[in-house]
Amino acid sequence: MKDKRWTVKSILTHIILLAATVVLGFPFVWMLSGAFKDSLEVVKMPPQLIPSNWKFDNFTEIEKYFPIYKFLLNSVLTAGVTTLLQLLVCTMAAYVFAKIPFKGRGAVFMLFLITMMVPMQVTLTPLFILFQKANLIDTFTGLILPGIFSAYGTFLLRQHMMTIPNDLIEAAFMDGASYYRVFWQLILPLIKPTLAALTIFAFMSSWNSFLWPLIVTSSKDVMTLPLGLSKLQGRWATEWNILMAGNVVSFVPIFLVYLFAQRYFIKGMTMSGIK
Amino acid sequence: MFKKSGAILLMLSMVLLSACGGNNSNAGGSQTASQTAGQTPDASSQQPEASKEPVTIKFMNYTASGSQEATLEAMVKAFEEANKDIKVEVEVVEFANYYTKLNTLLGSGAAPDVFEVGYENFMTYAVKDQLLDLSPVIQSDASFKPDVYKKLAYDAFNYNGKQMGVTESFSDVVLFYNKDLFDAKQVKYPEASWTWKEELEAAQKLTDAKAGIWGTYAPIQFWEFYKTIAQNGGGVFDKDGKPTVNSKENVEALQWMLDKAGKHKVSPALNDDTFNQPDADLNAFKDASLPCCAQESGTSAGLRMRPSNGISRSSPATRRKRTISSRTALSLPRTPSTRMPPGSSSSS
Repeated sequence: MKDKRWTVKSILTHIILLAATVVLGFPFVWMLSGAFKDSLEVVKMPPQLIPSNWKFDNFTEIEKYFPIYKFLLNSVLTAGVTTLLQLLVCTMAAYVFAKIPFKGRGAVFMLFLITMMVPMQVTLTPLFILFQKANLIDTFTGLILPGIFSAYGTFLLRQHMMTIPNDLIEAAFMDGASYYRVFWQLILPLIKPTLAALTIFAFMSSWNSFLWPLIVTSSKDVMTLPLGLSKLQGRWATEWNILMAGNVVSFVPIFLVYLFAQRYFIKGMTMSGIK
Repeated sequence: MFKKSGAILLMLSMVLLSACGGNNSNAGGSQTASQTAGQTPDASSQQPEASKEPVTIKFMNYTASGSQEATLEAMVKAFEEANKDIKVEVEVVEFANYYTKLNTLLGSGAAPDVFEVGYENFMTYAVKDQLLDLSPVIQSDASFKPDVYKKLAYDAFNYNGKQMGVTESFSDVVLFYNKDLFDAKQVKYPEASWTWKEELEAAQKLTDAKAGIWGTYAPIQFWEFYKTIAQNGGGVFDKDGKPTVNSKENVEALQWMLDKAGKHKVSPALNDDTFNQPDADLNAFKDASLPCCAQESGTSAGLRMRPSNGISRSSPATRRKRTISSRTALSLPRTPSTRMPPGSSSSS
């Protein structure tokens, strides 16, 4: 019997996957190596993957441009709190949309989803004026608040909650559980994988968020990492090695969150795909 | 980076003028503040006139972004030193997103008191009447002398007779060349009287394909195009505002730009990837450790390319010089070129 693993089809699949890996992986590898090169070598064509002399002070040189560790802390704080609050708000809203019937629920949910179609750029100025009136400009609250509402997250969680049998919930009510208790002790444990997935999405989008922080902050006390990284790009010249070093620093936390939630994450993706 | 140089007339729009009018450090603070109020309904409306309380000015800019924030800080410090009643709050935003932020702030009525606007964007704001007309202040301020500025640069920010900004900086085309390279080939150094012809002759002598030395370099792109056509007496518009892009002078100028690479082979070919990198010309100059960079508007003569080696040796005598390798004089304000040390001609 022939080894099934080496059919033409599987070889082809592997070639395509391999090519995709290289295409997707190369920029990342280039970033890593660029972070340790000097300013001339980093722009050299064709790129050289292993630096010919390792330069570690790119990481300390970033400090000349902006206080990276302060910004890093701001980012962790902002993205962390945003993620937590977003999870809370989304799960509660999703619970209502999935399991608590009321008149006009379908219409409200549609409206809710429509907000996904409105790009940030459109609401930018009104939002800014609103925040200005509320005295939230240049504050952490101002940074975090717009991020805790997510139609996408609500939708994702609602779809998962819909798959939980109503009988289960009714049984819990029969036993005298309150809405609060059903939500907290029944629904939440059941949707863990989706929660993990949303954690990563939320953290990533908050971590990478640029436009809103750009507009709403003006002092270094609250600025986040992407804003700092943008400072590394001058109009006329950019020191790519320093920028790459900054990107590496920025990449680490998101990588940690990913590692942490990875198991659930992949499971969550498959589940939302199947069901 | 040479290639990107857009028009660099930066201006301090609104306010700051009396305070930043170059050398004079008069008590511009109170004046300054009162004008701001007229322009933007700024929430933190400052005290008009007379008060001795320190005034805080918000200043937003992009020029310092990248690597010059410390330079700007030092300038601000010096300014505050000279004007004890004014505090400057600086915000540096990178260029790519600067106007996004500025537009939002302007739209929300939260614009900074003073901000940078490049000449290429100035008109947009001027037409919409979003900038303060400084003319009345200029007239009433005897200590402010507009003629400390390059007139062309200063007038660029005059719209319909209203002075809507004060020149902060402008850049000039420079030619820099490597003396060693010239000496090695016994070519005379560039002079003010040089035209395209002399540049080409020198470049041909300097070019040494085997050693990887190019005779001259200027990027072939729009920013060089409009400068080159000016050298040839051409222009994008004629006096009546009619487009004249395909005029004889312009075509000739473009041909000249292309010929240096294509026909005469004294410049790297258009598709030379090594030269499509950021700062490639500067790096090549440094790296080459010999090249001369005759520059006509961001042009480097005698570039020596060593594509396989990116490490720079000690760089040779780098001379900076005003460009003159043109048939007609270069018009100043429209001739951006090198990155300028912000300290040199900005006056904020």
